[in-house]
Amino acid sequence: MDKRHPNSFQQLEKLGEGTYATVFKGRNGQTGAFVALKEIHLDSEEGTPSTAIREISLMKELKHTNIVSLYDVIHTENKLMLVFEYMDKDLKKYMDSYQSPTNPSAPRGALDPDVIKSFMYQLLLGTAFCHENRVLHRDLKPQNLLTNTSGQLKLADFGLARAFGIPVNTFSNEVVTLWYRAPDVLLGSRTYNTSIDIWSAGCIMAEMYTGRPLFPGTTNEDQLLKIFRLMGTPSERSWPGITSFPEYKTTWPVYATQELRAILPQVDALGIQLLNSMLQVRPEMRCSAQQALAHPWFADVYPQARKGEALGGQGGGFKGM
Amino acid sequence: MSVVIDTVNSFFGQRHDSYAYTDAPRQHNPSPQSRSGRASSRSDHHMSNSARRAPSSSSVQTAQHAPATNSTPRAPSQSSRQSASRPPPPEPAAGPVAAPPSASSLSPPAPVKSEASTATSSAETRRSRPRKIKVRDLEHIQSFANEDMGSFSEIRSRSRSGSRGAEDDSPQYEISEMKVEHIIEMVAGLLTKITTTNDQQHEHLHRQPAHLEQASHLTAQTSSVLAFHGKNVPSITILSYLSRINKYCPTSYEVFLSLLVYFDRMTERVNAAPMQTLKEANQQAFEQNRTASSPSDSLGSDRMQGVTATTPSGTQTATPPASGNMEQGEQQGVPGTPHSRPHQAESPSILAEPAMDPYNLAHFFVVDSFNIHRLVIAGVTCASKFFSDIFYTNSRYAKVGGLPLQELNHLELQFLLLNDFRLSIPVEEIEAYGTMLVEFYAREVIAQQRAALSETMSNRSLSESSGDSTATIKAES
Repeated sequence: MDKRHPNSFQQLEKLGEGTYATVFKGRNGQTGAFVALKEIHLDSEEGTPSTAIREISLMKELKHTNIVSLYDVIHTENKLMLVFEYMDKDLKKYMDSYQSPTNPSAPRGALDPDVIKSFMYQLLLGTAFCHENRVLHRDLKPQNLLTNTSGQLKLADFGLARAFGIPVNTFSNEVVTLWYRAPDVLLGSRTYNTSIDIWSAGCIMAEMYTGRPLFPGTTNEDQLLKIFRLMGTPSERSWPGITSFPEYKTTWPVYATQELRAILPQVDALGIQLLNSMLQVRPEMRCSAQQALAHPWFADVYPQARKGEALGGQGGGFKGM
Repeated sequence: MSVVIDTVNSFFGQRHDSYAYTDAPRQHNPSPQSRSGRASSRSDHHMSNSARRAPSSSSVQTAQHAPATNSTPRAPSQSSRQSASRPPPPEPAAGPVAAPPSASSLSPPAPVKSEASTATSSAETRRSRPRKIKVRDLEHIQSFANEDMGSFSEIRSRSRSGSRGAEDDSPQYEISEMKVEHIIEMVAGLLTKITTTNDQQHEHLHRQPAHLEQASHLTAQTSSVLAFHGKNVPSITILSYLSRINKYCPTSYEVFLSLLVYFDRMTERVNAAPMQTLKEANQQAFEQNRTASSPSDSLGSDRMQGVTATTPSGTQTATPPASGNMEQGEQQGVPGTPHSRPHQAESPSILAEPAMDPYNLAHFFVVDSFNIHRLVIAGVTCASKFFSDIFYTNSRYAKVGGLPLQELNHLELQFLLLNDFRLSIPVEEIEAYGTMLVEFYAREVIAQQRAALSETMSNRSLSESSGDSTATIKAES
């Protein structure tokens, strides 16, 4: 496929199909190590997809234990192949197939508290690293978080990600899969920042406890209302400036704020506290990834997660291909 | 629709066929006399080595040496009139496929090198430096250029070219609030200056096509570079070309600013390897006590003389990236392929490439009038997709840029390859380029005025001189 890599990767089964790419499992011909091969078709009209350009450019700069490694880019005239670190499954599949051995009464898909804490910690470590390097992921969701049998969790799919830092005109508000999209983005904000990733992380945390998405909206409007039903309908008083958002409606039903505790009884008190600070409707009230990491809830997180190291020796990041 | 294609295709004249240059019809404006005399060795090197890692005031400095300014950006009002007076490009409706902005994307450049510490420390440095001037428009630059001519002196600019250290208290110029049109005008001015100067210095290069054609065994990187090289100089000026792109594919300013960064990076990346080879070959030749046999092939010694003795390109990279290039190690093994892991056994070091004739100037990448248009359109295509939440299909970029879609697709990929697929630009870097650009423009303003003054004093009509200085911009189809 490429002059430089004649048959150096054996293509195995298909792992998934995205909007602009197909992902295969692959095996390095020399080392035998598994890799994930993301094959990107170069469309004639579009040229190289912007998602590919962003993903490659950003992931080349973002080297972190909790961010999937991009090993290589192989190109031909009509295809790009990205060679990624192999991970066993994404968090969505992981949850879907999970039944707690210790708590058989837990709903399918709900993870054990220790694992949730470890995953959240790693998710926040990866996110904090992006933010420190002035990258917004903009599409955090269980499908884009990859896990391996060593209990590691890594951020993947930077196709929607974006650098930030110098003053620019606007950001698109067509970002983040609806269910994980922050209220300010839903309201039409184009000046959002790192806090949109924190909102997503909060949604993911709740989902790991219940096995179900926290706000499974169907449309932009429905998504907002699902959020308001839980967090309360914002007003000028609770959120100065909200009436000037493009999507602000005077017709919203007025919901009272509910206690997260009531919805998520399985979460301990400290966990609820953390969740509360991530799921602030007002972006400026949301905690940062660094602040979240410093939250006492993580005091007893698996040390392995803290170090960003694999729990076991198995299947973890194989170095060098 | 076809009208569009026809019109714009004519910018390029003949489609380029590899790099078989004949003495290309130089449709662009010859540069003012005064320059050639002045453009002596030192400035030459700076200029042609317009690629510096750090915001290369290297290219800008030359402005100092050549106050006559062939490419001088002019008052904004004038220039916009200028571009408006061009045969109006076809209405967008008629041509470019309307491509709704794709959903997602980026817009500010900025991700910083992986180490968070880098970001933090430089951010701190920045904070400690209070002088940050928000530039409103070109008149604003003109006004402070006039007030403070001394501060744009060559020495000063040179001292900051290497690194903008913490002790550097000269102001930073923040251009994010300027109109894109104004930024384009500055970018065009700089690029015009660079290309014009490089054209003069590399004329011999364009006259040596035969060797190149024989080289069927070019390295991947060399052929990437050559993909941009046209047979002829397109008839549209850089300013008009950029304005046209901005008209039909409007985007945010950092896309245009980032071109300067990418051109510098590409030049540096590409030239690092042949320079090394050249050095080694020279070394070898020297040690062999001039036993004459040039290391690789028949192109041999006469060319060698030419190159090492007289051409600026020999020396241009002899002072290689002064600013310590952190990525150097990584870049070593990356000829033409974007992977960046140097330890890959199968990645051919460019040095080992047998095809590498150390004296073949084709291995050097120099931004000149023959490649600038293709570099610009490919660069805008890539950068828009990276930075902007609004971008267009390649078929639109191709129509607007006046080249076939297939060629643009190819160039886009080559552009990415030559940049190692790394389009991220740390905030500090892009800001430094903004400052550099403003300084360049300010110096041009001063230079222009000085020139005008001396013209007046020598009793030559002012209008004549200003006509001269803007000739490049006006000269075209």
